[in-house]
Amino acid sequence: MSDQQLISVPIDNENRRSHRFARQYVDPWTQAYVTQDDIILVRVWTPLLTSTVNVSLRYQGVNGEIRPEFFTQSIGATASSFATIKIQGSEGYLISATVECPGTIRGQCFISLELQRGQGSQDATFGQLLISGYPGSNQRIGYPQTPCYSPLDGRGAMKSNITGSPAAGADWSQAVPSGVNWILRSIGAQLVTSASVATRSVVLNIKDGGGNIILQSAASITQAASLTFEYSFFNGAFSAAGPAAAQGGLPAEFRLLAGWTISVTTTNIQAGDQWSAIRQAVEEYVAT
Amino acid sequence: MPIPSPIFQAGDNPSGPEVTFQTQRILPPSAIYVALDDALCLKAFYNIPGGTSFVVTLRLLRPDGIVMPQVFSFTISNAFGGTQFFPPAEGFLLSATITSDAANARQCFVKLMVIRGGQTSQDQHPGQIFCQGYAGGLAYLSFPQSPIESALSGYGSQKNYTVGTTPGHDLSLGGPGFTTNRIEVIQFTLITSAAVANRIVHLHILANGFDYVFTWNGVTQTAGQTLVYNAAPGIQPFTSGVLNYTPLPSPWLLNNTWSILTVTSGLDAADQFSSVQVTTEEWITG
Repeated sequence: MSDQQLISVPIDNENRRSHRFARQYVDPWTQAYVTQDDIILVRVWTPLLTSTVNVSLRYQGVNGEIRPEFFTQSIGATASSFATIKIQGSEGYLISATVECPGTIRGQCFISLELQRGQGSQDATFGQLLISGYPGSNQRIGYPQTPCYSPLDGRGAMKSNITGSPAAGADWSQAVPSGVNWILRSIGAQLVTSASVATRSVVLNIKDGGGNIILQSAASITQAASLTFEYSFFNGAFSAAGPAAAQGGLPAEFRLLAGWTISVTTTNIQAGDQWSAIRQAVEEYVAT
Repeated sequence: MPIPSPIFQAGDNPSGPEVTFQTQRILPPSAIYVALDDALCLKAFYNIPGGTSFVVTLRLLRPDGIVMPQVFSFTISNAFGGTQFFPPAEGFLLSATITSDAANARQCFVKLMVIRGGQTSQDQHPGQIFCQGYAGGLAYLSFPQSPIESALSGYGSQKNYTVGTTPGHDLSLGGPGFTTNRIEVIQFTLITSAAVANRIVHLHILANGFDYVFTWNGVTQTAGQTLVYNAAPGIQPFTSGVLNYTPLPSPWLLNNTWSILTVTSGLDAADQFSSVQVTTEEWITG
């Protein structure tokens, strides 16, 4: 038989295709071979909210059959740690794994899915990392197509954080919660001053986890008695004063780690002065 | 020589699906064959006093078809990184996962490769690289799924430095030589002595002896004053009481050829800078 005959289209091929593929004894896709001793381990890091995690697997069993499997679990807030979901493995090939988190915004719940040895054992060996990233309501992550992302890749969750009003005559403080990082986009608050005569001046402080002051941002104007001022701190803020409004600057792309604090110091604050409507617009990431 | 027929195959089932798969003599993933003479090499780069620990887990398909997990735990105590070799068994490397105990995300840049000869070899051939990127305690790096990243990909590590000072001397600020930094905030206090003079604090960004940025906020500090200076990208020049604000360019990545200096006109020998805090986003760029 010549080479020419080897690649010619067979006469009995009704579809007239130049290539034909094997239908019997096809080699399976061996990239994620799962043994009987393995488990699929899902690590869920959802520091501040309860997240529903849906995991959809497509297995190919040893006899070639495709076996879809679906797992769903609600995971409570995990703070700076993570929760795990163990899925019993069986011998075969993991064709795909898809994860979604209905009701969760990207940036709030970080997932990794691994292939690990040991059915419920105490073995802490890390296995093969198949996927990691932020699934969301309408965006899934999936093996084998999704690259393994770190929690700080891409954009975080844009979030409005509300800080409770302090007692009258007191300043306020907000700590970055455990398990997340914040990129500060803006800080807003309202100060209503009492009739007590004094000139109040407001400074926003950022401290690191060790209590070191790393930024003091002064408001653009002072506030006298019996006035209501809106304070805004953001990157690019101009230091001019407006009617009943004061501004202060923030550094660009300023990421605060868990445990860092945002606070104000009001010089000459009076017993009847009241801070309220305290909110921070932040881009939030799951990170230490 | 023809391959003998398998003992059992799923295709033998006459009532099964039209497509059947091999269950015997399956071809292994030969592109990731690791030979007896090969060694895995982990190179780590970071800026962590006391060093950090690593766990590298392999899933190796042995020649006899058994999937064997292998774990290598080690500490690199050097503050700026190091190299660790470890020999896997012969087989096909199905996966390699790297974690470190670096406290913060994106502190520890690593690359994992296979090289011929191992630790004692003088061979400088870089070999096949499996993964490269930042590995942390909860952000794993893994072959084959993690993309091979550059050290400047994505966010860096958030760092806050306290800088020492000497009376009568200006500040000189610069990160470790193998890092690239984006300055987020610089804050410092200047306490002036009783010597009568007008001090004006300028900030310079320098490289190769040239000034690229020369910035100040216009305030003059006199004798016996304590003023606090904040410099940050996106902040307007401004003064409020003892607080002063100086703009910096944004975003500007400074590597080891760059430095930030204060140049204070009228600085007295007894003037004292203090409480110097530098907050940066740091990448390990070598």
